[in-house]
Amino acid sequence: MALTENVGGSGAFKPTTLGTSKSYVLSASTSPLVLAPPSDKVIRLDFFGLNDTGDLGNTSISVGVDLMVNGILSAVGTGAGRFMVGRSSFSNVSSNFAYPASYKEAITANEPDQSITIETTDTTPRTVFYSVSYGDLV
Amino acid sequence: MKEFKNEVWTPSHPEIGERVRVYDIHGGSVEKTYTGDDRKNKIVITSHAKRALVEVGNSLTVTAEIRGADDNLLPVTDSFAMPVGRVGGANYRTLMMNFVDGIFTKTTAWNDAGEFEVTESMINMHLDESNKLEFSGFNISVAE
Repeated sequence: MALTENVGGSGAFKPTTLGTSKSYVLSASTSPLVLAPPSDKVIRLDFFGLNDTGDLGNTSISVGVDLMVNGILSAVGTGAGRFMVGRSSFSNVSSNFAYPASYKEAITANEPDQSITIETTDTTPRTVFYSVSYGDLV
Repeated sequence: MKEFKNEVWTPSHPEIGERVRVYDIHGGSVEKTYTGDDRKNKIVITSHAKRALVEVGNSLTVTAEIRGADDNLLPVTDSFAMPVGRVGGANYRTLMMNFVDGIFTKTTAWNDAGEFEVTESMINMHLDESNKLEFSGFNISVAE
């Protein structure tokens, strides 16, 4: 049975399709990346991040027209405004998960057919990794 | 906007830098800037259709080409080890594929009767994700 998870304010999300990891070279010139669910389904962004020590400045994620997060996409560093969505497997030789970038929980759309838009104004291309699931609000 | 669905571009193949929508097998989609990453090179058997038939003890000559996604011959001169499996069984033999200017010709003796195959996953067994090739498969029937 699929795991049903509570989502803030909008009931619960029941995934019907779990995503696999995909990648995209994101920069201002290849932005935005728009993720859309199959017809009548709800999309959830399970993971979005980098897999190395770089960063992607001024990166935002919106659900429909609602801005959910805006900051520096990064797996490392302690500065304010650094974030990833989901957990990174990134580690270093001295201590696993040593880098305290802020990990944001998965982002779920509010309604079926709504898309998730990822944008950046950073002109330096970075390979971003992401994974989405499709499902229903129950 | 051009779309990639069921492995086909409609209405036509995009140019690099164009905005496109790419569908996954579940019907979800990604709208992005096309960078050419979705296209794979391929190996095409040119001497036979899907299957070759040879009698035990005889030799079979197979020719193949390595082509780009747009079907143009790629002038690749390189060697690849190609596994050949027994249908429903384990690896039977591994043949060296020597491509010269994108063309491969190999004559091999077949001394065991049975059904043998080369699949896309076998072709790509040792290739990195970015170098994987499309291949529609090939069967060899060795008859007594």
